[in-house]
Amino acid sequence: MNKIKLFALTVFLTVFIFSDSYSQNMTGKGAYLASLEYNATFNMGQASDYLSTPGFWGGSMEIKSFVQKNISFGILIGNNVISEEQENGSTEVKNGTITGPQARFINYAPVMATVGYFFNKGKSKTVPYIQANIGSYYVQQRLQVGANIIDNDNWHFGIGPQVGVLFNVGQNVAIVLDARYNYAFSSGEPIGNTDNNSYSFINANIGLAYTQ
Amino acid sequence: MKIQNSLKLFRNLLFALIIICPVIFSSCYTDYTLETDNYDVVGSFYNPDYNFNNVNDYYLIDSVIHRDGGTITTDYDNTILSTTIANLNALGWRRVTDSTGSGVVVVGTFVTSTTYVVNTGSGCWYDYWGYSWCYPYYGNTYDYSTGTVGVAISDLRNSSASNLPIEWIGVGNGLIGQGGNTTSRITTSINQAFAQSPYLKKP
Repeated sequence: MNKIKLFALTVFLTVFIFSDSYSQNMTGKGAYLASLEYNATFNMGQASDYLSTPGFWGGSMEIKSFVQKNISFGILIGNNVISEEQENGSTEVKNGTITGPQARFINYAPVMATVGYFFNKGKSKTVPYIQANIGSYYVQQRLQVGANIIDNDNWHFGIGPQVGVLFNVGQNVAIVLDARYNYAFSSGEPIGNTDNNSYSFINANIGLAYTQ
Repeated sequence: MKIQNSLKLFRNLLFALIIICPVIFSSCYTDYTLETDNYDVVGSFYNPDYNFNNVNDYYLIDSVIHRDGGTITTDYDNTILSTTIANLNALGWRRVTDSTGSGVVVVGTFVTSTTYVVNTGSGCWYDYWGYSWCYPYYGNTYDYSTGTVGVAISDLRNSSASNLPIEWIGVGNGLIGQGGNTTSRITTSINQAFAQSPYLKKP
């Protein structure tokens, strides 16, 4: 707990005390912004029914190009890994049930095009933004029951609205905090006893952004 | 100058994205190293078009079918048969001696084994620029055998000359010869197969 407080204090000091420049040009026309973020993943809906444990292994990378002041187009890629072990789990499958010690996995790999709007008035070190992501998710779902493995890997069309904030810490560097809702439309055959193979999940992200 | 720097940054980032791509799409699965006893798995499957309410009696084939050609011991055959009978009776089914009567299903039991060989040998893959990335041999080649105990329900009225369709099947699968009491594991597996099939229960 003390380490978490120390980390939070460090971030606070970095953002609000040692910051020495405004973000006038950070989102100006012709600028680029690249960010590398750590992702925590929380399944929702049907995906949560299969695997409710949050995932703390994940990362994403974004490149944004500002074609107009405060308006960006970009690319987002990432990988989020979630898994859990159930000592005596039971999984409903098509026309049946499988019971036993089992491990459940989902890997999400988004490849998205992004368009964002930044609320940057030029005098603030803090720049909120909203973003719409559209593209595809490569979803790798696995059910391992004992020595038996069932894989369900598919590409899904997907969308992902995102809200976030940039904290300009100077030297073209910003800390970025954002949350992203992800919806991967149904594709392929599901493992479970359902006809719908869609996934939804939320990412809570923190990272560093570099602007040019 | 600013545009040149921006383009350079963009090129570098694009380069980084291409480098990262193989990582992005690679599988990432934690190895939970399930213990020997943990490998016991029970599955039950049914024909969704079959109405189990229309049948109440069962004819049991009184010998266990050994699908591996006889290499698996017959020491547990009586356990398999008696556990199957106990479960069907507890669910309200009535055992009969004539398989051809109305409302009668045929129940068969079987055992089989499978040997798996796992080899995480060395290999190479090639990146976008033609560099080869090789990973060493970790010496993790090993093999293991699993045994399967199964109970199947068939209805002769739905059979053809060459086909005996299975309306329900329950299987227990686990490692052979490593840990646990075999009789107990077989009994537990068969009990679980019936327990997770509530549609077999008679009113």
